[in-house]
Amino acid sequence: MLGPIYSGSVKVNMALTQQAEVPQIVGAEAADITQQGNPWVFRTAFGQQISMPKIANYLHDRLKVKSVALVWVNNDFGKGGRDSFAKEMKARGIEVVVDLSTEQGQVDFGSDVIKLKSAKADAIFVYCNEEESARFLIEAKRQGITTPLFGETTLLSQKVVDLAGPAANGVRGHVGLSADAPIPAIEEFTKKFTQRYNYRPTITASKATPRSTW
Amino acid sequence: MEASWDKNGDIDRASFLAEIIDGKQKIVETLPKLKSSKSD
Repeated sequence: MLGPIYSGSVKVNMALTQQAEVPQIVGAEAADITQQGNPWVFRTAFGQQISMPKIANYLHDRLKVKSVALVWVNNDFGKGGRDSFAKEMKARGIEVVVDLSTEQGQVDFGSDVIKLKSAKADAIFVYCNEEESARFLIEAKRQGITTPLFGETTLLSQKVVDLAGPAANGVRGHVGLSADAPIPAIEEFTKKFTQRYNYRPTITASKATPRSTW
Repeated sequence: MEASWDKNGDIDRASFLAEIIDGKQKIVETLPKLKSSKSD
């Protein structure tokens, strides 16, 4: 069985495929999907336990970062990412000098940005939902933050870029999959998908399209 | 792209470091698998 994409849907129907002993290949990212001992479920996307070590390796090995400031949204998504990221920083001897929780739906990031500016970390890691990420970036730009801003997938989504405008320029981060990836198979997929549907594939389209149809 | 799965069903493969340039996401680097395969 191929799919679904959304974690909530997978959590419901993976029990049925397990009962029927049918292998299920899913695009979902919630960490606990593969931590329930279900031998029939396989991912095509990264869980936080894979994506956070990737960005941690980049910060440690390539940028030689010694300290980070962390800002995250206080919900299941943000808490899970925060815990995983902090664990990976500790494992690499990188000091988390600020660990800043923000609220879902938060509008004003003024005081948060002031705290982050004064921390003088080597990098700032932002792990919030899309709207909050965009508001944060706009405030960071307004206050003239020069510390490099990093994120994981959400921070670099087109929705955040559209909402934040020029404030998103320069943001860097890890993405598990991209239609622009310099991989021949992905370039061929992007070309065929665009020809067939007349728009470039989103990450969800990439995860949902079976390899046999490329 | 080479991919492998662990005993839990989690995928490991190359992924990407992106940067927002002029309002668009650009891939600036390919990040390797976390664990090398036996054939690497």
